[in-house]
Amino acid sequence: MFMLNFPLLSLSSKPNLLFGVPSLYVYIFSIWILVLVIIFYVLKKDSIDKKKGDNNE
Amino acid sequence: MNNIIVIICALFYLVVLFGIAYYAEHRLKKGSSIINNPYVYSLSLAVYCTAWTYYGSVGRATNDGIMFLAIYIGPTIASIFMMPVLGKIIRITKFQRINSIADFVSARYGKNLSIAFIVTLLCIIGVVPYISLQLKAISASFNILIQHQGSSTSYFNDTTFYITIVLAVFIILFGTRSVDATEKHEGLVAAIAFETIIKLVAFICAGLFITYGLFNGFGDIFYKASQSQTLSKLFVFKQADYISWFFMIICSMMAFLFLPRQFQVSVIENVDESHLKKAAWLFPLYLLIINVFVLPIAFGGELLFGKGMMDADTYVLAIPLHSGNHLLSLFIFIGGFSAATSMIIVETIAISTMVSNSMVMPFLLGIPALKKRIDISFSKDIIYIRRISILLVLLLAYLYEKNVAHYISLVSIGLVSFAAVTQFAPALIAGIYWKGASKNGALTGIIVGFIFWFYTLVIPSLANTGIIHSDLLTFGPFGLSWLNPTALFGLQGFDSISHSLFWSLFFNISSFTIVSLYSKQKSQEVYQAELFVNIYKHAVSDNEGLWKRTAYIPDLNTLLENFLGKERSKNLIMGYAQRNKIIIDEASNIADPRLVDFSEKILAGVIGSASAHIMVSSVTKEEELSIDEILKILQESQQMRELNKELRKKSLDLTRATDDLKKANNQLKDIDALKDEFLYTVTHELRTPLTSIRALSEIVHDNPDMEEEQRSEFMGRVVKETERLTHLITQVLYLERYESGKQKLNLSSFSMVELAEDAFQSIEPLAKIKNIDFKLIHPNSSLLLHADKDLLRQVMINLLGNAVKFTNEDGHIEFILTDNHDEIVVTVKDNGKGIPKVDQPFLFDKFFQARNQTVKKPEGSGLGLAISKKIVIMHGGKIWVESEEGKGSRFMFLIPNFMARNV
Repeated sequence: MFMLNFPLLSLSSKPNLLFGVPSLYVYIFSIWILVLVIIFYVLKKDSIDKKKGDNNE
Repeated sequence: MNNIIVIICALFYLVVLFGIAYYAEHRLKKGSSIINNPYVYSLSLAVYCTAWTYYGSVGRATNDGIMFLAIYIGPTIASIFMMPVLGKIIRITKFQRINSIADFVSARYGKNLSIAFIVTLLCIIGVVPYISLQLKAISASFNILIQHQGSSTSYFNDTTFYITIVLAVFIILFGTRSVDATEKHEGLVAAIAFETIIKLVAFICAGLFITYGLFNGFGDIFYKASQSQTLSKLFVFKQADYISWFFMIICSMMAFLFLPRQFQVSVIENVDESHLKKAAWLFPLYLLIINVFVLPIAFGGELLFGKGMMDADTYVLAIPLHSGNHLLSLFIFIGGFSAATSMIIVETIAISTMVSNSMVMPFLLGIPALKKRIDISFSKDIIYIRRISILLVLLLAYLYEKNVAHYISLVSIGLVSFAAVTQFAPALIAGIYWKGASKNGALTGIIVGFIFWFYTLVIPSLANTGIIHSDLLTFGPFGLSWLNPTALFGLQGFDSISHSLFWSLFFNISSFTIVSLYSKQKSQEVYQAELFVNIYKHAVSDNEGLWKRTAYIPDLNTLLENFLGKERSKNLIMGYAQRNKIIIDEASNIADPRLVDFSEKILAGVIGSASAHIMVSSVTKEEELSIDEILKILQESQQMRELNKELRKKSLDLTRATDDLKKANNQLKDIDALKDEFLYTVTHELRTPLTSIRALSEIVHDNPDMEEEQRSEFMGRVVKETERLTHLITQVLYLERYESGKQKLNLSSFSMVELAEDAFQSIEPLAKIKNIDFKLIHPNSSLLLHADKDLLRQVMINLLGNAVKFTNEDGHIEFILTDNHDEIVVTVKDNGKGIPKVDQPFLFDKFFQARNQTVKKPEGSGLGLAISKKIVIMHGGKIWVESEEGKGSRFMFLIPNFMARNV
């Protein structure tokens, strides 16, 4: 939430192209992907831990 | 393109939907559910993406650049923060058999009817225009596809009408299968998931075609756009955009949770809570993918057609059509069609459930004449009411689209709708975390929020279309400029959505909080609040009914039969009684309180919790619990919790004490071992002189005719050994006294120099015998000290004696006193054989000498140094040795001089 708002967002809000794509767009989409990967791993780890817990019981 | 073909395709697509829905229900009957997996669940959540996403995102992107993305970032963030909230809502919903968002709010606030009514009403006002928007999208895209120019003529509008009718049939067929609204709509959800895939694939195809077919990839489009003055402006945020961006994210988070259709798919249709975990990343991933091509399409369209030459909302469809690719265009049309229909289907189901349960049913049950009529089976009626509601909702949306919609710019309707449901957020979220949230507070908050929403968003849009005089927006009502709906209280610099959200949420939350704090809750409310907030505690034990209500079983039976039919209600009651081992008392026919609660829950699934509560109450003899009693019950559980806490604390203390005890025990064991060793060494030491005494006396005893000279020599040795024995025992006793702490220091003030001279004189004769050069070196002052004189003397004698013992004849011994102002250092230095480095650390241990076999014949008890160490330590000083083998050693101890310190 913090990463996707002012003022951090304004850092990339510049009219130049990065890999042929406006830098603001690159920034937002990369953060988005990053967040997805984090959720994925956290929940995966979570469910693995749970399974372990179940086995122990 | 021929309109007949397009209509046939659209109808064919709907037939496919029917097929899928039918297949899913068919599978369910055979016992295998296809919606019971996290992937279908995640796909069904994507009903969030409507035709507004499909066509509208591109339109917004041409005006505001990446701003459109906030609507999709919101749910992504919600996936992180709101999943626990959603999980809790799902659990409560299952436990209480809740069937809509209005039902949820009403159940939380004491199963209140008026609050359910208000929420439903607001949903209709806020969301029905949104359904119209979908219908509008269908007709507009149809227009483009058949390249119809000009505004409305009769027949294509009729197409929309027919499509609406077909949708209504579909919804009625698959949405009102069971009278129990909490039952999953298997076929519907399967169809929605299918539609979700179609719209994604279609949109991606459009994106790929435009980006790689008409341009040379992303880089090409963005490069060309950067050359354009107007388009390159969209690459960055304007200063004001950050505010809109922020509010849009908040708003879409709430919309994702509380839009009636979202609530329907994410909560009501949820089969398994654990599906949330997969959906938490799958659903945002879906949003990400569907949004990748929005900007390229938007810029591509602007570059191809030129700014403002064509409605940007239609680019997705218009660009492929323009380049002559008819087949692709048709597919893209179907994609948009699927986005629109999926939204219409789910939203209509959700709203019609609310309408029938929160508006029509209470009304019917409230009519006394009808109340008598409920003896006749009511379950068919309920289904009909719901079907009529579906038709009504769709009709309303259709009429709105035909008559009102062209006055209002459709683009904003989606966001206006989002802002409307955001008004439910405070009452809902606080409702499941804050017990103090009261019915009056929630009602006030929602109504106040809604009034501000209406005034700052709906009124301006009406004024813009000329229905209301547009002077209102420039000068405010009655010329009061601070009441201007677009700049309320003079707030400026916000776009209309952010402005409205700010004020409506501000007044919503504050009035909700204040009224909640100052209003008294009824007992039913307190109970429901407790159930909602602590759901994880209560959901475990289903049977802890607080209300000890009893009813006659026949009454209860009739009630259920009226709504569910004879067969089913009998099965349900018997099943429940068996599961919970409730004995049904045939004689008295009085139902267990648990059975009453259960019946109410079953009914709630059919007619909503508020109506169910009224119905069940009408047949029960209820002792209305007073607020005091409820508080007492709650307090008891509170006390239990506190007691529990205390117990835990106590047990923690206990563990700590046990640890301490264990430590002490270990110490004792160590000491015990030391004692054993000590005893062993002492007895060993005692035995040596005893053995020689015994041997010598035996010799003397057995030889009476022994020569006098030899006898006296033997006797002399006996005496000597006895002396040694006595000395040893004395030493052991000393040591024991020091170690046990019995020995107290007998403090007096004396001159250290005098003491040293005294000790020196005692030892001097011994030194003379061995012809040792023995010197005492001391400073000129008298060195006054406050200490135990006798004990210090003993230490000196001991050290000096040792020095004499271990120094060869003609050696040197120096006895040195040094004054370090606040401490006195005593050094005994000799040039004897020295002590090996390895032995030095153990030198001051008891019987070190005895254990150390390098010394051939023990001289002394082996306790002297140990005793010396004790004495020095008792004085707060320290003792140590510096020595090098062959060069002699230097024993030193220091005694702190407190007298000097005080001076």
